[in-house]
Amino acid sequence: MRVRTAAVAAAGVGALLLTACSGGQSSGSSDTLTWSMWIGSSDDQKVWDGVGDTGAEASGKKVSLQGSPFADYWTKISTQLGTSAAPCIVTMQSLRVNQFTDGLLPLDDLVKSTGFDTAAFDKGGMKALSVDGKQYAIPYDTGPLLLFYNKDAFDKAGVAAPRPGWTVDDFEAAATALKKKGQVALATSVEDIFLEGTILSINGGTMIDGSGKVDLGDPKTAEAVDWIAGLVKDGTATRADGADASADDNAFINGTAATVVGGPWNSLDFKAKAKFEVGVTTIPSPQGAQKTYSAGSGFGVSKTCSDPEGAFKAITAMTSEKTLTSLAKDGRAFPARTAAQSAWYENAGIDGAEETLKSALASAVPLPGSADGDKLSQLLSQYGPQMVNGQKPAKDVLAEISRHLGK
Amino acid sequence: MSDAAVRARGPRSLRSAIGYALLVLVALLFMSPLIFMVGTSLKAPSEIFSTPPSLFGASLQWGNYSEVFSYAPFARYLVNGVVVATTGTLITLAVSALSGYAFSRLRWRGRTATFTVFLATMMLPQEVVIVPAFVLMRELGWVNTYQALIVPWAFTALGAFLLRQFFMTVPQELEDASRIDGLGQLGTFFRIMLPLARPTLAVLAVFTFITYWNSFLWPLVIVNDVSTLGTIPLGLQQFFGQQGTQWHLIMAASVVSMLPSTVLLIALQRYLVRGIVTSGLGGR
Amino acid sequence: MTHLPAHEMTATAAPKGRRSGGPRRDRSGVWGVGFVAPHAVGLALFTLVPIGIALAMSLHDWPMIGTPSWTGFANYSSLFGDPTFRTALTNTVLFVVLYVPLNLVVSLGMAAWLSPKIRHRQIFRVIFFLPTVTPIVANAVVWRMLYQPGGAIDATARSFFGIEMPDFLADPHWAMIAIVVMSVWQGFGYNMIVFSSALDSVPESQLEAASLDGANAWTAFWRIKLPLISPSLFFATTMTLITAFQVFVQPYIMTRGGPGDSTVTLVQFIYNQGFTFQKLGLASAAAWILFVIILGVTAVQFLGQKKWVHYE
Repeated sequence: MRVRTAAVAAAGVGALLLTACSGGQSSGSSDTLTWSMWIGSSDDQKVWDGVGDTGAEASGKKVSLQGSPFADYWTKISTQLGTSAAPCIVTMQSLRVNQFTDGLLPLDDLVKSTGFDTAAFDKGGMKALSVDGKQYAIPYDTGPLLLFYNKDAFDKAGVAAPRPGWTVDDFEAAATALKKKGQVALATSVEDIFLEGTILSINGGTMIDGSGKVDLGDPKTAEAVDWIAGLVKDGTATRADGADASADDNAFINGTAATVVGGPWNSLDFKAKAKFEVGVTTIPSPQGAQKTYSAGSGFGVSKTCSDPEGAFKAITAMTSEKTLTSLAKDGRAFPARTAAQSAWYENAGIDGAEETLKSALASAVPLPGSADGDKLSQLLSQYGPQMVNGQKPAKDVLAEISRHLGK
Repeated sequence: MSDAAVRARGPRSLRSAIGYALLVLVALLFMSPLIFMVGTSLKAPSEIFSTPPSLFGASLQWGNYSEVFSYAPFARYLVNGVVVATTGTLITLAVSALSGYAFSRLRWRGRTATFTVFLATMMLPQEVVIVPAFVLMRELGWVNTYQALIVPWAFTALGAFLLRQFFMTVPQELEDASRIDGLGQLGTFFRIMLPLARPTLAVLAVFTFITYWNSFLWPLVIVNDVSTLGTIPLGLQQFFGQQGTQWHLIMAASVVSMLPSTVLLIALQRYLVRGIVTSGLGGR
Repeated sequence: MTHLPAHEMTATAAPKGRRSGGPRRDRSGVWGVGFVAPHAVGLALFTLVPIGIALAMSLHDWPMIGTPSWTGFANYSSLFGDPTFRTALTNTVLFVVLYVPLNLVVSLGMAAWLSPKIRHRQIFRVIFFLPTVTPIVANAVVWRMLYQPGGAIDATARSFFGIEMPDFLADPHWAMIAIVVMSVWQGFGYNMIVFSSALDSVPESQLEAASLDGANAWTAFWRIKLPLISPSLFFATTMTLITAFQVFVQPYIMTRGGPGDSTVTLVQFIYNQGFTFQKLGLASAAAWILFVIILGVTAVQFLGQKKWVHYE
């Protein structure tokens, strides 16, 4: 008995020591650059590991990828930046970069000293990752928000395939025709980027003003939300689900809803999973007032990184034409580097993708970020369904969200 | 009392048969979410929301289970879960057996006071200390490490309490006899007392293992690199990803995540009931 | 292991510890301190110290990054003026008030039903215990699928009874009830096992005596069994109360606190304030309030136990 107990105790202590040694790689070690990125699956992991390898080759250091699901990623980053546990290379999204400027290194000096050519990138994509004239990240992708549609469902309802630049009236007519066939037209979402994008296109309403301040007082915003709520009540749009950010994508993929708002980054997934022909067009706007948001993501360097030069070398390789072309071929990201964009068009496999994207890009404005961006996103997922699903007037809910943000 | 004897008693047996049928019905109803989980885990994605509802799809998609392991590093999550829960449980058992014994059979200055402090911390839920515990981990440089997942929760007072209750029921003569046999304090503890405590240790092991295995909030806070350090509950969340909720995969992953603790439960269930009695939980 | 600091710790923890019985003259005292040391040091470091840190933090404006500044009781007063906090508090109390009695009644009822006379009672016990050992995240996800429109409950009701069910999780009137039902389903197994083993240990002789006195099963249960198992009832009630106050995962997975704030609980409030909004001081103050509430409720339990708990 004693032997056994002793063995158990030894095993416990041993395991503890073992785990203590193998655990946590801090970003401080001199031969490794830690890179944090949102990762949704093993496939993601593989692709981004490949991207990390190009960075490793260029910097001569190991690039170790640290991933968490998108929904948790921002909470994690905010607990790390500014501490010694911060990763060296930080993946940033344009509408969230504002809230992390304290922890990120402005890259302008490194851009200048290394002769990095920013002109090779989409101007809007580059600008979207800068705050107050300082560049905080180099974009790998960019993209205007678009409307994906179910071609088969449109055909069945006898609705002509929508062309880029179609109007809200066109959409309403299509929705009515679809409804006659028992088909719900729109999959709604309360995720910040998609909800804000829909609202801007519908009537120009905004939630964040040009200076990065959240302002929900715009009457047009409430009007647009009530318009969506009208569709939900009418049965031509699905109900929004705050606890499941992908409910809209699911509704589109399984055919419940005939259209969904998304970015170019969604196209690969939609095409792979949908059992119908996927089409893409612009989000409906009023006649002659086509508008859409664009958003993008890129790589930045944390202030606490012990080797910013090495990190920037890695980033340069991770956003090179070669890397972005291969990402584009995968259909993952619409490249921020203009020279790599043709590869995306060629591989998108969606009719009219190029025409739609060009039309959308021409009317795109960067979705402004805000220091309160993550809070807004959190509050929208919690309170948003009530207004989008028409349980409460949008004006009241927006006022309530403002009240929460106020403190 | 034998089953045959119960069944043999005429009208009573009818009543008990009806009662039994009712019990089976209740159990089935109770199980239905789990049955539904297994059913959905074997459906094709397109069959998941169907009216009228069906338990199984047109064909059983066993491939969902292998997809769980290829879609996300689920094997890694399983291993992490087992390593964390096992190590944590072993530490808990070791320290609790020692302290439970000290609180019941040894006399030392400050015993009552220390035990009162222990008891008071039982009222303190883990959730209450996540913020300071996180700050502490950051100071120790333990954020995103295995030891942060294991160590902070291995010293809960419940174990000391359970084992103290148990050791108090052991007759003093046993210990006196072992002293006479020339066993020292350590010998008495390891060779006499500890073997007696097996049922109570089993209870503690099951409870502790399950707590670690199912823990969600703390890993959510402390793990930054889910693909290497993720445990099962964190991993389950991965199927909620941006790329659409994979209901069939979540269900398959949930079934897999149930297995280890279920096996533990079935293996130790005899001990469990006895242990609860002797530890004073179910005592009178 | 670390003997010395532990010794110091216990020595200082109880400098004038009353000599209950008085230490023996043998070396038992040394052994006692040595045996308790690993556990005590761990508990002190990972539970008592954080509690202290939390108290200190709650008196500061403590950002995730940057220097904390002393604010006194500002966090506490801003919490009580914050409607979200008050809602979280009411929601948590509502959950406790619904969940705890329901859990106890169901678990006691099932424990009584699964008497030794029931065939295959081991199997039934395992069945009812099963959700307890399943990760709550998994359970919550399954129930989300059951609850949602077009999900199993709705689809069953529509196809067999022609009734459309409410959208349980999106309806402010139903969301909390839905969470309570799921929580009872998932959680009563623990108490059932505790009660079951307590009932088993009621001596046959006492029951026989009662049945000779003409008591039927019902009165025997109320008059004899229940008082005899009252210590278990007390223990279970206390532990269930404590855990109920910390409810987090079920609403987090099923509703994210929504719709609106109708299912936001205190722990979710703490998590949001601390890790999403990065106000660690405010979060710590909320944690301390939760701690004090739990302490208070438990104290009431302990004071009340004299009236109904019978130790032999």
